[in-house]
Amino acid sequence: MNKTTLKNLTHAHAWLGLIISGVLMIVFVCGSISLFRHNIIHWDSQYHAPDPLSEQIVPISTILDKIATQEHNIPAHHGVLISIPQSDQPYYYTAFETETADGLHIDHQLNFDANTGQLLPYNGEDFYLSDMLYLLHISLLLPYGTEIVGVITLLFFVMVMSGICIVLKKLVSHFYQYRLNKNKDIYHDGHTLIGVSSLPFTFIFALTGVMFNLSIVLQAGFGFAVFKGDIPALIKTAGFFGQPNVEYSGNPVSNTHANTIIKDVQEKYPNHKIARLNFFAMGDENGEVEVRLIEHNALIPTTHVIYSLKDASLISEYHAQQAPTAATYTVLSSLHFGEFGGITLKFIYFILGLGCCYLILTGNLLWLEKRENNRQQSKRGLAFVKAMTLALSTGTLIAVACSFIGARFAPFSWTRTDLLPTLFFCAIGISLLHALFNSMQRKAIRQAMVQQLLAAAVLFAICPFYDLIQVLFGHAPHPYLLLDVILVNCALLLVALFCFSLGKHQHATSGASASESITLKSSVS
Amino acid sequence: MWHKTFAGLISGLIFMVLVPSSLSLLMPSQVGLILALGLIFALSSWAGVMTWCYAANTNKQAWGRAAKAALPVILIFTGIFFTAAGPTG
Repeated sequence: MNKTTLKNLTHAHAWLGLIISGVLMIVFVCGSISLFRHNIIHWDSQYHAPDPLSEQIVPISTILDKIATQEHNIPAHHGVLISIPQSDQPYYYTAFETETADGLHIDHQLNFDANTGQLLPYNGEDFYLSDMLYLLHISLLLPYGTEIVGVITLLFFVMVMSGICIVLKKLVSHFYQYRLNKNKDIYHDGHTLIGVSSLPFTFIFALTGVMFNLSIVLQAGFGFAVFKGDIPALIKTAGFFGQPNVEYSGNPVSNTHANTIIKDVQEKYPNHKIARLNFFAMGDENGEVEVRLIEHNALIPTTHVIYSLKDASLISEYHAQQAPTAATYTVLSSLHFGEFGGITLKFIYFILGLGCCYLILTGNLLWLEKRENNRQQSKRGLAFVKAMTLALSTGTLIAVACSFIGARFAPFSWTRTDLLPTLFFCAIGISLLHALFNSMQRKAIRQAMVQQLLAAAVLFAICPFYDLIQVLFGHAPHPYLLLDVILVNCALLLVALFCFSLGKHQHATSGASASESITLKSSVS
Repeated sequence: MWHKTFAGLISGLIFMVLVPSSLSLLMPSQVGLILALGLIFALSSWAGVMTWCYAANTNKQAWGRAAKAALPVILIFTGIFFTAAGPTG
C-alpha cells in the first residue's frame, strides 16, 4: 500500500471517527451495560419484587382461565405470550395485544402470582432502566434510530477496515510498542494496541450491527432481484421461524391441555429451559401454542415446538439449524450477545466493549493532539471537539449514574419511560455545556474534567450507599435477587472509585504542570 | 469526504445486493446457502467498497472506483436476470 493511500485512509479514519464518536460512544457504553440487563432488572425491582417461589405453583391453565374471564378481544393471529415462573422470576408474566372496535391495538402486560394465581400489582414497566439502556444501544430512542445506528455501524465497519489497512504493515513489528514519553504517543500506541487486540470482537460487532440494522436493505434488494418482489417466498427460503397462522372456530376447548403440553415438553427436552409459550386462538379448538425452548451454552440456542390446544398433540418442531440463512443469522446474533459463554464471557465482552470506548476516546484525543499546534485550525472547532470528547467520556458516565438514581428514587407516579431518557440526555447536555464553557483553555478543560469525574463518583456512589442504609435499617432483598443486587451495587461502587481516583490523579497532574509552568516563568524572568 | 462517502455507499450497496442476486439466479437450488454467505460476505463487501473509495486520492478517483465496482456487476446481473430462470421459475 503506497503512502498516499495510507494518508487518505488515515484522513478518512480520523474524520469518520470524530463524526460518529458521539453516537458510537452511547451505543458501546449502553451495549456493554446491557450485557447485564437481567441483573439490572433485579437490582431495579428489589424493593417491589414479588415473593420467591413456594413449592406449590398454580398450573398455567389457571392463568389462561383468568385471562379468558377478563373477556379481552385478542385476534387469533396475535399471541398471548406467557413466561412460566422460574427461580429468578417467581411469577407468571403475560403479554398480549387486544383489538378495539376501531381496529386499534392496545398492549397489555399482566403478572400473576405463581402460588395463588392472583393478579399482581407488580408492573414490569416501572423498572425501565435496563430496557432504556438497551433501547439506547439499538436505536438511541430516536425516530429512525435503528437506521441511524445502522449507518453509524456501517461507518464503524469502514473504520475497522481502514484501521486494519493503516496498521497492516507494522502489525507484528509494532504490536508491543507502547511509548510513554508524549501524550500523542501514549494515545497512538494505546489506540493501536487495543484496536488490534480486540479486532475479532470489533469485527463481529461491526458486522452484526450492520446485519441487525441494515440487512433489511439486502433483504429488500435480494427479494426484488431474485424473487421478483415475492418477499414471503424469500423469507420461506431463508428458513426463519414462522408463527402459526390460525383462525377462531368458535368451539371452545379446555385450557388444561396446556398443562399436559408443558409436561410433555419437559420430558422430551430435558436439557432445555422453557423460555416462553405463545398461545394463538387461546381456548379455541383451532388454537395452537408455540413453546420456545432455550438450550444453555449453545450457539443456536432456540428450538420452537408447536402443539395443538385441542388434543395437546405435537404439530411441528423448528430449529434454526434446518436452514443455512437462519442458522448463520442466529450464530452471528449469539456471537453479538455472548449469551452462550455464560457470565464469564459476558465479563470478557464487557471489558472488550469498554476497550472500544477507549478506542473512541483515544481517537478523538489523537485528532486533538494533531491539530492543537496547527495555527490554521479554528480555535472554536478545537474547543467544541474538546468539549464533545469530555461530554462523551465523563458526560456519559454522569448520564448513566443519573439514570440509576432516577430509577431508584423517582416516585412511581412519574412515568419512567419519559423520565429516564430525559435524565440521560439532559445529563449529557449539561456536561457538554459545562465543558464548552471551559474548553478555550487547556488548564480550564482539565479542571472541568476533574469536576465532572468527581461529580460522577458522587452520583455513582449514591445508590449503593442508599441500599446499604436500607439493609442497616432492616430491608433484606429476596434471596433470588441478592446476588444481582450485590453485583450491580459493587459495580456502581467500583465505577465511583475509578472516577474518584482518576479525578484525583488528573487534579494532581494539573497542579504539578501548573507549578512547573510557574517555575519556568520565574526562571525566564 | 461527501463524494467519497456517497460513491462508496451507493456502489457498495449495488455490489452487496447484485453479486449474491446474480449467483442465486444462476444457482437457484443454493439460494439459502448464498443468502447465508451473503450475510457475512455481502455486508462486509459493502464496507470494503466504501473503504476502497475512501482510499482514493481525489473525488473523481473515488467515483471511478465506485463505477469499477458497480458497473460490471450491474451488466452481469442484467444479463443473468433476463436469461436465467431463478428460484421463481
